[in-house]
Amino acid sequence: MKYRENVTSGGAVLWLFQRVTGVFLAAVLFAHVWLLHYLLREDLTFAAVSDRLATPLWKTIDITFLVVALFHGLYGLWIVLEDYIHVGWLRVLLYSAISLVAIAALVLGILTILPFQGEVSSIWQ
Amino acid sequence: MANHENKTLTFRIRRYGTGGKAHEHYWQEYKVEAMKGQSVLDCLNEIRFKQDGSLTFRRSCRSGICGSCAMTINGVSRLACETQVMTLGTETVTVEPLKGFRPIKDLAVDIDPIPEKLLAVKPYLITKTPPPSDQERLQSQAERSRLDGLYECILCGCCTASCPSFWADEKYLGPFAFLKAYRFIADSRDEGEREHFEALDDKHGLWRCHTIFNCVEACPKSLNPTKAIAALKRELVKNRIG
Amino acid sequence: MAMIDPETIHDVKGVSVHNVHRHDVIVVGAGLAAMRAAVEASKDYDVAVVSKVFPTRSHSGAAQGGIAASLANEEEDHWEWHMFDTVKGSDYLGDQDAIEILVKEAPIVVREYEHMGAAFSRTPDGRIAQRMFGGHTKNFGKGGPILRACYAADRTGHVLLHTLYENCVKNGVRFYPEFYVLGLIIRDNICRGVVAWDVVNGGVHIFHGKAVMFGTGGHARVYRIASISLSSTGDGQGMVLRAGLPLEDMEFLQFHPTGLYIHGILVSEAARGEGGYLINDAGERFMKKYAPEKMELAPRDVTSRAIQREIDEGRGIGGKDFVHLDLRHLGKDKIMTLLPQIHELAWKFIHVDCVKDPIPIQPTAHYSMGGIPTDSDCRVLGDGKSRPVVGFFAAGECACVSVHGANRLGTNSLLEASLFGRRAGISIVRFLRDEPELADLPTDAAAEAIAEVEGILSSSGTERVAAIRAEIQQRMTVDCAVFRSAGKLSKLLEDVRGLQERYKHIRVDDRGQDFNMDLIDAIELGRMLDLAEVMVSGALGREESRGAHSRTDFPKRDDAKWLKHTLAWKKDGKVVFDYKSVVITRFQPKERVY
Repeated sequence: MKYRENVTSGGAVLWLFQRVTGVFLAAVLFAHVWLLHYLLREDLTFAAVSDRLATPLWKTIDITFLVVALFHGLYGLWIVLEDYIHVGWLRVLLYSAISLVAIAALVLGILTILPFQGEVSSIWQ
Repeated sequence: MANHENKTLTFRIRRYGTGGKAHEHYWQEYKVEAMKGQSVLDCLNEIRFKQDGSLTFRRSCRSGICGSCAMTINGVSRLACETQVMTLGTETVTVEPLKGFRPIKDLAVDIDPIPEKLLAVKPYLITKTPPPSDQERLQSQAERSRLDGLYECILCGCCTASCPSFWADEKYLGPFAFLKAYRFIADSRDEGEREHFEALDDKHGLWRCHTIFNCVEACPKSLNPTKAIAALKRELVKNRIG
Repeated sequence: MAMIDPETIHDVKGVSVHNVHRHDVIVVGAGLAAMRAAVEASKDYDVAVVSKVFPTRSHSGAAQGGIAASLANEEEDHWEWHMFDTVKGSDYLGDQDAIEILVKEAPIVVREYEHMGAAFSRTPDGRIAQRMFGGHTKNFGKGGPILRACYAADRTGHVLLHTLYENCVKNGVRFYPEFYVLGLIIRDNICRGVVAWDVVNGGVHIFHGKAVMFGTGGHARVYRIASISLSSTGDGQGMVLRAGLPLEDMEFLQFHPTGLYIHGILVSEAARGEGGYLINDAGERFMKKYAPEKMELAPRDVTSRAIQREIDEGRGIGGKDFVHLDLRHLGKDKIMTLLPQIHELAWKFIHVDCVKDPIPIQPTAHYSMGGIPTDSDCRVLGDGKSRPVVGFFAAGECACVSVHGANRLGTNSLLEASLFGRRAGISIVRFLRDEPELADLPTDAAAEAIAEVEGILSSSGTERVAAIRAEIQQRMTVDCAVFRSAGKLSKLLEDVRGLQERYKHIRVDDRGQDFNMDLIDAIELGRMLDLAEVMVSGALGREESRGAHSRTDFPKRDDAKWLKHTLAWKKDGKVVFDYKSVVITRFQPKERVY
């Protein structure tokens, strides 16, 4: 029964999640561009951006964006490796690399987003 | 029709394991005087009968229903018997064994993976309710029409042989096994969804399909395995989440 | 011409027995009869299926039109009507006790297929759909054509074959695909198994069991223009003949009226069942001259003769050797839903779009009515009459029960294969219930087979197997076809013997043991020549015209002399005949008009 080595792989849930995150990312990306460049047209200055990022709402949006984008991109890469890399040690190496990149990017991202404390301007209150 | 447009074609055949060159691929060329209306299989037979009896390939029905003569012709997986040699439009016809399958001899490949993959999806009607004793189960014409495009598969292997996911992973169940699984899951009489699904939700299963559509292009019976796979993915997600 | 480099020729290695496999039941072949028996027997016993092709490649899968059963899903029908049609279709040569079994059990067999999962087409109320077929009528031939053929579009054989394979898999049947059976092991009238050649890897294997069942298919490949697969070379019949057992009614071979022109590929009778016309060069529906009442839905022998006569008398299309099958008036919708495969075949093989153009067709060698004599429990009769060979069973096209007599009706073949396959399975189970001892394997069981293979691999003659085969196929197609005569047959018989002589001096290009198709071709040819000899001798002997056997020098049926089955043996290089009477129960022979 060599074709049934991984009966409860949970592939179904991950597959669905990859689709959902894909749709989410597309939507968020579109909304982000539209909101900032067409609707709000905020000043392209550090002060304006840091003002915006200081609000809890934008912190939540950007951290969600970060987590979802990292998951979507790196899980996609994971699948490609699963498809084409069959050498055991190389697989372990590359999986580890992906995991490291994921953790590093996540930590760096969060560390970047969280500290913004700028003058909170009126519109974000 | 009975036309006498003859043409000399060169058949360039990728051979393996014959002529004292065991386990080594090599190319051999043959000239064939081809007539309009002749199939690639007719030409291969001509070579075998008149020039080189050692040229090995499978064939049986020669009418496109048994699925024996699947091979790679000018780079595409097809049935040799229903490929008209003149419609290829090339002076040189390149013939290779099916891709991704282990070669045995010349154009014959190891087809053991076909039943192995098929068996994994429990390819038979699974019922819990016993059928009526002296009559058939009823099935509406609409329910029956859901099987169109699924039940016609001849297990030739052209789809799987053209699938990059199969080239990358020989344990990948592949298009025809999914098509067969869906043929039963879509059948109004079947009550074994979970049993058929068991092998599909696997790392060599459904999730290895990346909707490349090569199987659709290759299928000599014009079936659409990719569509069946998409339907299976939906059903499976519903089954796992619902 | 490219020749084989002598330096690269493999040495002929000694051929030896690789392995002995033991199973309760050894089924040879993997078509409908063989796998239906396997499904049945595997419920209780360990069954092996040994077949020269992968199971779903078997030729049953090419059957298109349907399987007959008086289900009466579409209109009133009775098994008695079906029985009358089959008896009349057989030109009264069918054994009526066996035919009664056939028509009575038909509905059970078809419904079982449905229960197993076969995807039949359906009626509006969800039952198995049925269509018309040649020779099947209402009310003992007095009414018009009847809807009796149960179908799955025009892929009925494909659907049934795959359903059986799937059910064999489910029941744990052990498959040995691509094993070519070389011979039977029969000693003291007990069948102990078979000897087989592993086609892929080379090597002789012995299959040792308590029961052996043949479902090896027909032998119409003895003809050049044939609807049947290149693998249907009558291996089973050939082996039986060599085992010193008789064959029955071998002179009766059916020509299907509608083979695609030149290839002879089958165009299902369903095309006429759904309303297709046969048209000659003058544009007339010529069947009105030959079967004014049933027209295109006359039985196959009548229709084939009509087409052949039109062609012979210069009324083929453009004076050539084909006529037209016209489906255009059916319309695109009907063609694409009910006859999709015919549309595909005509397009792919001769580039004719049958929605727009008529299809050129010609009669094509199709079905072997004759074969291995069995009783109605599928036990092979060693003397052809009453004495069964212990543990040896046969069913389907390779066997002769005989339900088809001198001419088979369309859709009765899938029925016969399935129904007698099932009966063989039941009969085998009954035989094994008595716990017979596993008969010893004689030490020389494989000697003959090994000698045959070694002989061919080391042959040093000059004759090409393909050349001899092409000649026998061509000669049979010309001289032992729809119309026959003493002059042509006796010349042909002489030439067959000449070819047998030439066969002794063959050579093969491939001398290896692995996947050696050259070797298989050579073995098949030897058997085909034996069968041709028996067929031609039988045709020469039967001085009458009955069913598919039509003698121009004896144009009438002769019940006084020939209402009997032919049994033929090969003894000391000669064909020896005996005869047995036909079983007649309900229907006395009458003149046969349609």
